[in-house]
Amino acid sequence: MAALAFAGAIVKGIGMLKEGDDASLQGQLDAVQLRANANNAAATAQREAQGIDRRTEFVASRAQAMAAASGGGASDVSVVNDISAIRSEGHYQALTRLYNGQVQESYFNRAATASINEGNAKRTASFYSAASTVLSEGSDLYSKYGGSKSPSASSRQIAGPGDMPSGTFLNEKYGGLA
Amino acid sequence: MAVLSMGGRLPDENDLGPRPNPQGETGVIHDNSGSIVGDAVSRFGGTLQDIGTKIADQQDRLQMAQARSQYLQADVAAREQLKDTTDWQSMVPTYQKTMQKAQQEALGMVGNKIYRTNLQLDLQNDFAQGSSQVMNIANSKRQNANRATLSQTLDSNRQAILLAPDSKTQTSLIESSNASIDAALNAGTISQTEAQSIRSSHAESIDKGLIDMKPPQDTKNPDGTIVKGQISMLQDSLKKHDGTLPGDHIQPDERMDMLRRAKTKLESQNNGLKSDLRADVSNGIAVLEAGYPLTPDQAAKLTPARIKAIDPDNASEYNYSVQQAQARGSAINNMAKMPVMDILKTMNNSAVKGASNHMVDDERNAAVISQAGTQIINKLKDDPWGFLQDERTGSAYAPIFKELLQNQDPEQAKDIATRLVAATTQDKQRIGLSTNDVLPSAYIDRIIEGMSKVGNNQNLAQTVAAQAQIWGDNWPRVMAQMKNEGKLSSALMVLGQTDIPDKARNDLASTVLKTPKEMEAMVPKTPGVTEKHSIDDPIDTGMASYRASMGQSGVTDVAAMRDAIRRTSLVRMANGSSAADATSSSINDYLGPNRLSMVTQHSGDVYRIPLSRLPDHSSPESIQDGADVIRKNFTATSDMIGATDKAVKDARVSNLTSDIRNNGYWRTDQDNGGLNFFVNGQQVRDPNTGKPVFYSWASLQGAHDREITRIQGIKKQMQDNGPALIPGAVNY
Repeated sequence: MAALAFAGAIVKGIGMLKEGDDASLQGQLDAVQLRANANNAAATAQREAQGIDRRTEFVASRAQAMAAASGGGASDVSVVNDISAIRSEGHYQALTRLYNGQVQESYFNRAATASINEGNAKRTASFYSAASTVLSEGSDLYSKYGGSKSPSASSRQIAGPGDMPSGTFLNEKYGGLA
Repeated sequence: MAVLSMGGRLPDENDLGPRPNPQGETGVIHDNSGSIVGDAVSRFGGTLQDIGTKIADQQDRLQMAQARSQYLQADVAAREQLKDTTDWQSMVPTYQKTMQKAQQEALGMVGNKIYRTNLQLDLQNDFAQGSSQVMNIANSKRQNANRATLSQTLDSNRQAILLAPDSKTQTSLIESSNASIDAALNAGTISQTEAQSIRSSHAESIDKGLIDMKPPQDTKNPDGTIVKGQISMLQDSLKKHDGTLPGDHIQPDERMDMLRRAKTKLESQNNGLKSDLRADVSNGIAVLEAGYPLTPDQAAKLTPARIKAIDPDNASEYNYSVQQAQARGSAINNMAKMPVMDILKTMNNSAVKGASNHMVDDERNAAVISQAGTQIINKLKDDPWGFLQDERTGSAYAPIFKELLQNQDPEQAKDIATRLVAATTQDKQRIGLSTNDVLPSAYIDRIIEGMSKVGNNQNLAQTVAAQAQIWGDNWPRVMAQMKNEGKLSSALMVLGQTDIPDKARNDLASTVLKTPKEMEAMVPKTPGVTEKHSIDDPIDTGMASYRASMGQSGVTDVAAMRDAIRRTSLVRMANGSSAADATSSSINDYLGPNRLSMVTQHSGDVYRIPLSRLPDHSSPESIQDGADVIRKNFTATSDMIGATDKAVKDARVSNLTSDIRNNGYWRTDQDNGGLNFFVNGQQVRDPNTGKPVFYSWASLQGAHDREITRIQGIKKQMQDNGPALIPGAVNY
């Protein structure tokens, strides 16, 4: 029966390790998605910035054309200023859009990294959990069945410092030992 | 904004739409990996801590349980030690001292302060309870001791008062008794009521003791106590002490009753002694008339002096009966040592021949001796060995047999066995037992049972060898008895023969526990190689001489030998030998010239000479020579001839002698002990004894030796005197 119980603890520990592996894998899958999202955000921003550029060029061209058609010189200062303002604004907007895309990309990338880190951390944690389970169960079983030696003369000796587990709680308990 | 001259408006930066707002870091990424691992490590650490704590706690509990157990065991041991002590005063201190030590030892076993404190409380409680219980026991012992002391004191005082030489002493003793009673009362050993009761019964017992003393005329009785003078003196002293006699304290009717009881008791004692004497005489006569000696105790009860002292009126009759029984017992004891024919003669001699002055005694003698003789004869017939263990027989074998049964030393077994066979032979001759047995059947059963219990072939061979070693030269006779009683298996019959080579013995022993079917299965059947006839035919051929030497009466032995050879052959075939080699080597081992010498005689009959049975310095040739010498010199006598006419008788004697010398032949006896002599299918009988002619190997060797001596004498005469002086002498 003892062996069966211990085998159960081992199986439970293996289950925990499996859960850790699953968590790690899930983290990696999430990271892939997040990195895809980052790429999408960057690409979208790039495309939108290009759209802004085209629109800027279109508005600037239309302004130059309309200035010329109205009889005014296309190189009139006001027209030039106007077109210059259009281009500046367009450039600003395109850069702003690129910036926003980079921000999003950075966000998703960091989220991906965090996801991977968490997955790996869960896997690492599963090792400790599994070890805890096996150790705990093993300890119980050892207490029940492993200490089969009958109490001997030696076991009746007063335990010395070397026989005691270390730790502050022990000091509290065994402070009065000779 | 630039306005066109025709009233239109140039497109400006506002046509690019609203400005996108730069978006800062809106979300905070939480990477919990550190906390996840941290938590896990923390939990792991917690688990380790729990385990450590648990182990430590369990260790503490175990230590506490062990300590408590040790203390309780010490408690039980301490109480057990004090159980039978009479020194009640030291009980509690001794217990407490022991248990305090045990307490310290137990506490020293627990390391945990909390548990140690708890244990200390428990042990203190145990200590208090134990002390209390031991105290109760001590108190009870004290009360018992005090009661015993009081009782003993009063009893001693009573005896002393009854025998006190003067009243002063008596008074002093009575005061001492009262003081003892008072002391017991004050100590709480007895209650007030008990004290009063003890006082009264003590006084009464003194009074009754005085009256119960036997009168002077009974003082010759061994149980008598004091003489009249002493009683008078006591009565006087008592009277001086308190003015009364002891009897004054008892009512007259009770005094009469006590006197009557005393007389009845005396008569009863005397009658009892006479009754016991009658029983002693009757028992003694029964023992004597059975032929057994009296034990010292029985003899002491039948001395004339004792008989006369107890029953003088019937003493002479008792003494005469005992003397008569002793005479009959002596005769019966002798009968137990006689052969049956002598017993019958004794019975016949004791029969009443006619009237006499001792008719009654004669008839009694005849009846007792006849009955005892009949019993002895029946026992000799039914169980002679059992009867020989009867001490009356003075058997030589019984004590040695007892010695053998009790012996555990293999070194001594052989010596005891040799002496036993000599003793059984002596006993058989003395009581005329005609059996060939050398041992009691019960012991034969025991030997066979010992062999049967051996479950291992190797051990079986060793067991048989060990028995053969113990019985030595007598082993063949022991074997023959086992065989005759039909208690030996065929394999054991052969296995018990000591002259079989070790290899054959071991091969055979390895098969003893196998059934015939298992034996056959040992060798696979291969046509032309291991067929039945390929084994059986050579065995039958090889055994022909042996079979012929055994005669018709040796069928059982032949069958046993054949079975042994066959089993041995199968073992050897199973080990790789061919059928021819296996059978040949087996026959050689059991019946070959190293063991048996086969002699084919002029008549064609065969006898065998077992080499192991021959005396030292003998050889098959000398045995054969001895047998031939005896045959050629055998002379019939007229006692062997039934005719009455002398001429006819002489002629027949001559013919018979000639027939025996020419056609006589020898045959080995079943026990391999020597040769029987036959002629024309009949065993020749000794003309002097009428018994069948049998020569042991030693006597055959002797015949040979005498013949050699005779021939050497002739040679010497020839050398000394020349052949011419000995007519008909042959020059050897």
